[in-house]
Formats: sequence, C-alpha cells, structure tokens
Amino acid sequence: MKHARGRKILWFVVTIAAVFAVGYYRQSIQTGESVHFALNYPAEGADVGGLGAMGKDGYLAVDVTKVSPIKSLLQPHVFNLSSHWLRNVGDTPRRIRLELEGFEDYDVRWESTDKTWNEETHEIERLLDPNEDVTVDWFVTLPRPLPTEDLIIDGTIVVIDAETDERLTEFAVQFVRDPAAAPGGD
Amino acid sequence: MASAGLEAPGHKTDRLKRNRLWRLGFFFVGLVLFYAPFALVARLGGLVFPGTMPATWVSDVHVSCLRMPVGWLTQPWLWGALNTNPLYYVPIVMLPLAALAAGPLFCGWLCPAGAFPEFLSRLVPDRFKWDPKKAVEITAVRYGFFVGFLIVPFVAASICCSFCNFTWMQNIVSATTGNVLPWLYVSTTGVVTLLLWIFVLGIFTKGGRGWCLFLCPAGSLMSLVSGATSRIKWLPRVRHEASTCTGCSTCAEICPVRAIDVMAAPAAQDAAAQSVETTRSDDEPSSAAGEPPRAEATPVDAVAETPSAPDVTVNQLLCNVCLDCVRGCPSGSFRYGTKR
Repeated sequence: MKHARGRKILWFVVTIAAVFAVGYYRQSIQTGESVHFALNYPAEGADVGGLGAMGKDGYLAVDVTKVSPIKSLLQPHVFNLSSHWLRNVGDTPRRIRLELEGFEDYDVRWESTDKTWNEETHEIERLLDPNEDVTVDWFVTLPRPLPTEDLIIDGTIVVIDAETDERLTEFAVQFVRDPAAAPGGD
Repeated sequence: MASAGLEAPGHKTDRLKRNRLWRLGFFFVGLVLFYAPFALVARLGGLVFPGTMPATWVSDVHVSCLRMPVGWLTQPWLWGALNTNPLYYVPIVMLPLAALAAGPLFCGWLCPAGAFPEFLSRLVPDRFKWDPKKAVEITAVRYGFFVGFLIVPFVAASICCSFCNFTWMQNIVSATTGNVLPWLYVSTTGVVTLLLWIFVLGIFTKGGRGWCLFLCPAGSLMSLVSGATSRIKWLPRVRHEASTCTGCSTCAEICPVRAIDVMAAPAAQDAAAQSVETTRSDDEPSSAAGEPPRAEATPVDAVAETPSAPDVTVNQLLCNVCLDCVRGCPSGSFRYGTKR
C-alpha cells in the first residue's frame, strides 16, 4: 500500500516537473518563432507595450535564431506576431486602422478574429470602447535562406484612428539575428 | 456455465455498438454547437450578449474556449477577462456544475476533440497500442498535469494556447469546409500537439483517449468535481453491482478512459491466475510478485463459477460517463444512476 502511494506521488511530482520543463521550453522560443505581445493605444514610449512578457519595454525584438529543430526543419522562414491584446486604453471609443511600416519587401499575411475586420484596408470597422480588446496576427515570410544581417527588419506597427488619421501608437518591431543588435525603440 | 443475469454476449455487443453510434451522433452535435462554420453556442452567445466577444469575434471554437478560463483560475489579475465573454464561465462554472449533477457527460458525449482520436483509434488493432493503465499511474499523471497547468505561468511560460487540441480540431473542421489558412503556419508546439493528440495519445493509445486523460485541463476539472462528489448517493454516476458481476473484465477492456479495474476476489484468485496463465500470450509479462492477478485476460466462465464476486472499481476521477460499460457488460452489472 505504501509502495503504491509512493508510486503515485512520484508520478504526480514527475508530471508537474515535466509541465514546468515544457513551460520553460515554450519560454525559450517565445522571442523567436511564436511571438505573443500586447499593445496599447493611444500610447507612447514604454506604455505602448501592454501586459505580458513580450513588448512590455515598448518595442519588440524577434530573434530569428530562436526556433526549435522542428520549426527549423519544416518552416524556418515564417514568423508569427500575435497581438494578445490590442487594447484601447483611452477614454473614448475609436475605430482603428493598422499599418506596417518597414515590411514593404516582405510577404505578410494579416489575420484578425474580429467580425468587422476588413482584410483590404486593415481596419476594424466598428467603434472599440475604452478597455476593449481585439487581436491581430501577422505572418511574416522572410527569404530562404534567412538573411545574414544582424538587423533584418527595422519596422513599426502603427495604430491609426480611422476617422481622423491620427497616429495613436507606434510600436517598433525588429527582426534580428543578434538580440544585442536590436536598437529597441530608439 | 453462465450465471444469473448473464445475457447473450452478442446482445450486449449490439448494445455497445449502438451506444457508440449514439455517441458518434452526439459528437457531431458537439461540432455544430462549438466549431465553425456552425458554432451555434458562440452565435447564440453573441445574440444574447451583444458587445461581448461572442458578438464581435469570429464565431469559432475559440470564443467558447475551454482551456484559458481554467488556466486563469490561479491568476486573479486575469479574472477581469472573464467578463469580456460570458462563455468563459462555461468551463469553470457550468460544466463543473453539470459534472457535479450528472458526471462529466460533456467529455463522453459532446466533446468532438476527445471523440475524434477515440473513434480513429478503433480503426487500429489493439496490438499496436500502448495501454496507459499498464504504463503509468493515470490518476496521478492526470492531476499532476492539471496542477502543473495551473501553476506553470508562475515559473515559466503558460502552456495553455500553444498546446491546444481544440484549435487543431477547429483546423480540421475548417479544412473540410475549404479554409486551409490555419495549416499554412507551422509552429513547434502546434506540431507536437497534433502528433500527441492524434497519434501518440490517440490512435496508438488503448481507448484513444490519452489526450483527455493526461492533457485536458477542462476534463480534469470536471472529473475532479464528479469524482469528489461520487460518494453522494443521490448523484447519478456509473455504478457497479457486485452481485451480478462475473469478473469477465469486458468493462475494463472496453472503457475508453481506462477507468475500470477488475481484481479477482481472493477465493477466485487461484482459478483466475490459472486462467490468466492459459490465456496469456507468450510475450505478455506475468503479474508482479505478490500482486493479485488482474482478471483482464480471464474468460467469462473462469470467474463466473467462483462463489466470491470480483472486486470491480470504477475510478470516478477518470470516468467520462460514456456508458460503454453499462451497455457492454455481458452480465448487466453496470448502471448509470444513484446509489442504492
């Protein structure tokens, strides 16, 4: 009986440890192949990045070398930027449009879960209340083989008020080989 | 040879087949309720709660997510997000309450992501599968994962969305309706999830419910509630009647979640052991020393003629109330209902 209980406790603890290990592994690739971040608007400086591990410093550095062997084998050149969340931190409802600057030479697929997302204009065609969130995903395809420069893309995600064309937020996004080469938001 | 209450095995096999057909039908109902392009639950939620996520998001399985709200339980700073979508209360309030009242019927009857690998696994002979019951302590691993899932965000990255089988189920359904966009992006965690869900813990796992057993936090929560309250006699659960049981172990064999254990009664152990020896294949290992032989490989009659009833236990922390044992038991020794 004691032996059986000990076996169960051992399996229980080993499983928790395994989950932690997977969590650490997930953490190790979250700056590379699958970048999730939060973005505030209207905002500037460090306030641009919302809650979450990525983007909280007000810019995003995507390390193209941080990909797993599986990703390297199957699809090493396509990167996902996923905004969890894009939040209206102002005090008035807004209709927003999004632009990507600095990505003109690359193929980018846009996605949003919002029912009013306009794929052509990259606009959420409804008013977003204060504190309301939407998500937008970008799938960026780099050339194969991957460029060798330390700084591959120096771009910006821009949130624009669709009614007034006011730039509400500018969020620097850099694709780098060496994180030290990321100039951040400067 | 047959004892009282033992019906013709063919009759029970037909009932088992019918039960599985019914379950298959309900899983299609689950598809219509939760998965795009139908996603009736999300659409209804959007109509009832305008201005919330069900009304503004694309209506697919993510609007009625069963994983994130469970993960948020230990992160109070995320509780505010619950109010952005009333459907987030489904996995942490409604389904556990339903499990309390009637057992985790959702898992056994409505969850397409659980059913898909289970029914696929029926296409593969058992000799190609691993049996979780023989390999690990299922309950310990199941709830070890559950605890790990809840606390891993405090020590490392969350594994909630990156290892989501519901997303893959949605991707499969979407692909059948012409939308293959989700398949165009490959991620490490996505590949690992697909391989585990469909193959390692699905097709090649006895019962086909390995993902449900080990890696589904929503199922674990429902089973935890159901199991913890299973001793309350007026709550319906799968119950075993020892008086009519023959110890044939059909229940243990057919249970998709490996929740049933059959141990021969002390008086019957010698006969059972003898029978096991004669029916065991050459490559099957014998029981550990000192451990009473399991009657899984025992034919019906060997134990049926013994005077003592075998010890049959239904692990309510694993049972998903699929009722395969109720329909498939040759002696009708299982029922779904309150304690007598």
